[in-house]
Amino acid sequence: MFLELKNITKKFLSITALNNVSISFKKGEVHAIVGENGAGKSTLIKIIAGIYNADNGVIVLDGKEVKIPSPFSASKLGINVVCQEYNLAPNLTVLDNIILGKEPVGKFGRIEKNIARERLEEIINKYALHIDLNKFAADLSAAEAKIAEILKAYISKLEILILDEPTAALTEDDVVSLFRLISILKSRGITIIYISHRLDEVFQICDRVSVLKDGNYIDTFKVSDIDHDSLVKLMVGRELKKLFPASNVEKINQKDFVLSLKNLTDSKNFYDVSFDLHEGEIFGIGGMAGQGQREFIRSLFGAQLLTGGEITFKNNKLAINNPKQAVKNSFAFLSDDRRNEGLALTQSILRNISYPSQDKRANYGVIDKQKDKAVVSKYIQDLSIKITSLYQNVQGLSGGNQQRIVIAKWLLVSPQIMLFHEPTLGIDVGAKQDIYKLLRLFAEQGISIIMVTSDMLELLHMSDRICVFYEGRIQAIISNKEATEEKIMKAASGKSINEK
Amino acid sequence: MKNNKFTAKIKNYKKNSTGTIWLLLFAVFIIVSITVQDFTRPANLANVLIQMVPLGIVAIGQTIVMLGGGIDLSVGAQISFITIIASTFMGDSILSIIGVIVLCLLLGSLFGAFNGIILKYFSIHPLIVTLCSGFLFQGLAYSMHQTTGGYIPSIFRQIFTASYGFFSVPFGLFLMLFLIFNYLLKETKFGRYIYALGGSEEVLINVGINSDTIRIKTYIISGFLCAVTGLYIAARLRSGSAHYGSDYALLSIAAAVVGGTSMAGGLGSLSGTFAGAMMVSMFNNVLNNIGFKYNLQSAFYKDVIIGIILVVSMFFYRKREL
Amino acid sequence: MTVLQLSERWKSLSKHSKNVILLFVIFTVLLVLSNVRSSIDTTVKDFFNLLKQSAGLGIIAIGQTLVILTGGIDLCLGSIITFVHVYIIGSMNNDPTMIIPVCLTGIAIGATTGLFNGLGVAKAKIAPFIMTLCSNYILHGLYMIYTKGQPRGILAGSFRMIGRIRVFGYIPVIVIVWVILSILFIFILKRTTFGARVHMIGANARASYLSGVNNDNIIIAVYVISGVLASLAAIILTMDMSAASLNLGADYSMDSIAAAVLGGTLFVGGIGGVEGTVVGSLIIRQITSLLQKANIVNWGKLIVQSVIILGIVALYSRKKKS
Repeated sequence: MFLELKNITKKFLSITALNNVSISFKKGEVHAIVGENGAGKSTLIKIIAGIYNADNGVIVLDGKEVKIPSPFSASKLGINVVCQEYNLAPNLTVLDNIILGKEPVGKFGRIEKNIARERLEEIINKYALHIDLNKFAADLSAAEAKIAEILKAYISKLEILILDEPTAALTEDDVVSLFRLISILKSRGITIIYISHRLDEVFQICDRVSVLKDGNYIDTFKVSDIDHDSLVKLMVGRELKKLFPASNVEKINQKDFVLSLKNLTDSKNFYDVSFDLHEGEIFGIGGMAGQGQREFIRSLFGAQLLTGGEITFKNNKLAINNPKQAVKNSFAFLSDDRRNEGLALTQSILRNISYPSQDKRANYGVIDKQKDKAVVSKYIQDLSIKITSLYQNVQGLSGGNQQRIVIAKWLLVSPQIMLFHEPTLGIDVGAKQDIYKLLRLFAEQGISIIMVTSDMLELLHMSDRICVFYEGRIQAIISNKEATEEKIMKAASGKSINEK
Repeated sequence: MKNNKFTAKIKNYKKNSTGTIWLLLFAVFIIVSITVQDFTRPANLANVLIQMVPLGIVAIGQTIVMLGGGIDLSVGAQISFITIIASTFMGDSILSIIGVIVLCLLLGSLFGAFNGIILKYFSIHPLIVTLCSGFLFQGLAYSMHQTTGGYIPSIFRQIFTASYGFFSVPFGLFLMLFLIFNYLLKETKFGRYIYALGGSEEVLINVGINSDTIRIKTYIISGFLCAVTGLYIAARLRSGSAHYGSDYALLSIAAAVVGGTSMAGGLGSLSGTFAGAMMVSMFNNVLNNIGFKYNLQSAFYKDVIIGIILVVSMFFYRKREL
Repeated sequence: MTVLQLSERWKSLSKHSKNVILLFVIFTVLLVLSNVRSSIDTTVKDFFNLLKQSAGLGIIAIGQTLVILTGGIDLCLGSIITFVHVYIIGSMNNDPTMIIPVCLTGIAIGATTGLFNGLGVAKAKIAPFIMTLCSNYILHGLYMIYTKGQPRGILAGSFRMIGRIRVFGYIPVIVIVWVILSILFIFILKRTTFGARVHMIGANARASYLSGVNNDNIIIAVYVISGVLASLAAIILTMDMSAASLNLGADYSMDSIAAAVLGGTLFVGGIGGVEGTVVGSLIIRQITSLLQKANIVNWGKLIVQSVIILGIVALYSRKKKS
C-alpha cells in the first residue's frame, strides 16, 4: 500500500464528518471513493490534501508516517488535488499559473518563460491536450481549467492526484479527454483518487472503489467484483423508500397547469425550452453539467436575461426581468451557491429569514418586532432548525441548517413556484432526508417545484417528471413511473431514449 | 469558472488595455496642442514632463501596492515628513547630502514596512490601516515643523532640477524608476507574485509563497518611492513642509485607476499608470496656461475638470454586475 | 443579576454590540481620566462643551456610517460642508428673508451631490472611493470659483441668533439636532425595512438582489442622506461663526470615517451602527481636548488619534490572520 489512512476522525462542531476511517491506496491505481452527499468523501480527501487537519489518526505515505498540515506540504509530498473550486489565479495566464512558485529564473532575476513554455508545450503536444497557455485563467472553460490544474500538479512532484467530481462541468468530449489523461497518468505510476457521483464513470476507469457512508468506511472492492446496484445499496444503506417520500403521480397529473413555458431561450446557453408545470408537481431537471440547466432556472427568476419565449403563470403572461418581479409573482429561488447568494453570513438568522418578506410585517416601513420574531420563530420550529438564538450569525451553522434557513426565508414569501438549484448540495445525510420530506410537503400543499440537480438518486426518486437537458435543449421528459437511471444517462448523452 | 469576480473584470481589462489609455492620452495631447497656443514649445513640453514627475513616482508605488490588493493612503504624509527631514538635516557637505538621502530612503522603507507589518498581524482593512498610519506620519511631520522652512543646499537643488531643453534630470529619474519597476513587475518572480497576491492570495499560499512577505514588500516599495518623491520636492522647493504631500494620496490612486489599475487588485500596469499620471498632470499644466492667459482662477477649474475626467474614465473601467 | 446571568447575556450579544460597549467603556475611562483633578462644576461644563464640539462631526458621521454600512465610502463630505458654508455666508446678504431659501438651497447642494454620487456608484458601478473622490474635487473647484479664493458675506442677525439658543440654559441647538438625528437613525437602522436593506446590501449585495430588493435605490438613498446631513451640519455650524472659513470642512471626511470605524462600522460591510458612531465622534473630539489640556500641540492629536483608532480597530478585529 502506497498511502494508508489509519483511524482518521474529523468533527466539525457537533457533526462527525469522519468516524475512525481507515483506508488504503495502492501505487498507480485509480481508486474511486463513492458515497452520498455528506458521506465524508470531500472531508477525507481534504485531509489527504492538507486542506483540513484530522482530529485523530495517522497518515502513512510510502511506509513513513507523515503530517500534512497545509496544501503546500501536501504538494511537497507529491499529493495534489483538483477540487471543484478552481485553484488558479484568475488574473494570470495558464502558463503563469502552472509555473507559479516554481519559475525558472535566469539573469537579473528574469523568469525564463520560454524555457517553461517549451517544456510545457512538449507535454501538451505529446498528449494532445486542449489547452492554450496564453489564455487568462478567468477565461478558461471548466475542462480547460481542470487540465491546467492537472498540468500544474504534474510538473511538480506528483505521486498522488486527487480528483474531486472532475466531470461535474464537462461535456462528453471533455470527459473522454480527461479519461485519456487519467490513463496516461496511471501509466506513469501516479495514484489517482477519484471522487464522483457518477457510478458509471467509476465502472469505466477505476480499478478499485471504496464506499463511505455517514462518515464511516464501509468496504473496498475491485471494480470487477461488484455491480452497480450493490454499490448503490452499500452507499445508501437504507430502503430507498424511506429516504425518499412517496408521491402520487396520477393525482398530480390531474391537477391544473399552473405554469406554462414556451420556447424560452437566452440565445446563449439554452434554446427552445418548453413545458407545462402542474400545481403541486416536483419537476426535476437533470443532464450533464453545463448543458444550460443553471442558466435556465436562473432566468425563470430574473437572475439571468431571457431573450425570447413566453411565460404564462396562472393564465397571465409574465415578464420576469429581475428578481424583484419574480418575487412579486410568488416565485422563490434557492441558489446552488448558498453562501454567496442565499445567505448573508455576517447577519443574524432573524434578518436572513425575515428579509425578502419583511414588508409584510411592517407598517409604513417600520417592522413590527414582535410579529417578526413570532413568525420567524414559528418557521424555525416547523423546519426543526437548531439554533441558539435568533440573533446569532448564520455563519456557524451546518450546511443542512443553513439550507433550512434559506427554505424558511422563501416560505415566508408564500411562494407558488419554488426553484431549487441543487437542493441538497453540501448537506449531511440526516438533513437530506428531512429536506426531501419538506419538498414533498410543500408539493402537497400546492407549491410547484422545479429542481435542477446533479444527484442521480435525487433526480430519480424525488421528481414526478424528469427533464433531461442536452446542449441547451430538452432532450427528454420522462414520467417518474417510466424513468430509469439508464434512460436518464442515455438522454444526458444526447441519445434518444427510444434507441436501442 | 466560479471566480466570477474576475471574469468580468478581465474582460474589461483586456478591452481597455494599456494601449487604450495611451491612445486617449495622445488624442488629448493633439487636441490640446491645436487649441492651446504655445503648448508645443519645447520649454513648455519639458515643463509638462517635469511636472508629472512627483505624481508619477508616487503613483508607481501606489500601483504596486494596489496590484497586490492593497491601498496606501499614507503616501502624502510620508512625502511631507521626508521633505521636513531633508530640509532639517541636510547641510552643504557632500557627505551630509548623501547621508541624508540614504536616511530618507531608509525612513521611507521603514514606514512602508510598518504598514505592511500591521497588516500582517491584524486583520484590518488596508484602507483603515494606511489612513491611520497617514495620520501618524502627518502628526510626526507637524511635530517637527509647523511651518514651511528648512534648508536645502543649492547644489542639491541644481542637480535634481537640471534640464537641457527637452531632457531633464527629474524626468530621467522617473523614467529610470519606471523602467526598473516595470521590469520587476513584468519579468521577475516577485512581480508575478504581486499580481497573484491581488488575484488570489489563497493560490499563492498554496504554492508555498509567504503572501504576507510579498505584501510587506509592496508597501516598502511604496514608502521608498515616497521618500524619493519627498527628496525631489524638497529639492525643487528648497524647503520642507507638513503640507507638501497633501494631495498625493488621492491623486496617486486616481492616476493608477485612470491608468487601468483595479481597486480590487490583480489588474493593472505601470505603463497605464504612467499615462494616467501624465493625463492628470497635463490637465494641470493646460489649465494653468489658460489661467495665466485669461487671468482666471483656473487652479480651481482644474479641480472640477480633474473630477470630471476621473468620473468619465471610470466609466470605462467600472466593474460590471454579474 | 448573577455573574452567570451576566456572562450569558454578554455571550448572546452580537459582536458589534460588544464593540460598542467596549468603546463606551473606553470613552468613560478617558472622561474620568481627563477630569480626575477637576471639580464637579468644571467637569459638567467640560462635558457639555465636549458635546458641543462633537455635534458637528456627530451629524456628519451618521451619513458616513450609512454609506460605509452599504459597503461604500464618502470622501466628499468635507467639500460639501465648505461649499454650503461659503454659499450661505455669501448669499444671505444680511437679509432675514433669505434665510430659508438659502438654507434650502444649501440642503439641495448636499442632496444633489449625494444623488450624483449615488447614481455613479449604483448605476454606473463606479467604485465609491473614486466616485466620491471625484465629487470632492469637483465641489472643491466649484466653491473656490464661487468665492474666488476670498469667501465673504454677511449672515442675517436672526440666523446667528438661532446659533445662540441654549436649551435648558446649557444645551446648544446643534447638540439637540445631533441627538434627535442620532436617535432617528439608530431607529431607522434597527427597526425599519430600509435599515435592514442597508445592512444586507453591505453584507451581501448579491443575496439582497436575489431576495427581490432593488439595491440601487437604497444605495442612492444613503449617499443622498449623507449629503443632506453634511449640508445640515454646515448650516448649523455656520450659525455659530462670525467669518467665513475655507477650512471649515477640512478634516471632516477623514474624521467622519474615523468616527464610524471607531464605532464599530468597519469596512466589511453590513456590520455596525450609528450608536457606535456617536461614541466614536465623542472620543475623537475628546482626544483633541485631552491633548489641549495636557498642553500637547495640535500635531499630537494626529499621532494619538491614529494610535488609538488603530488600537481599537485591532481589538475589534480580534482574530489573528492565519
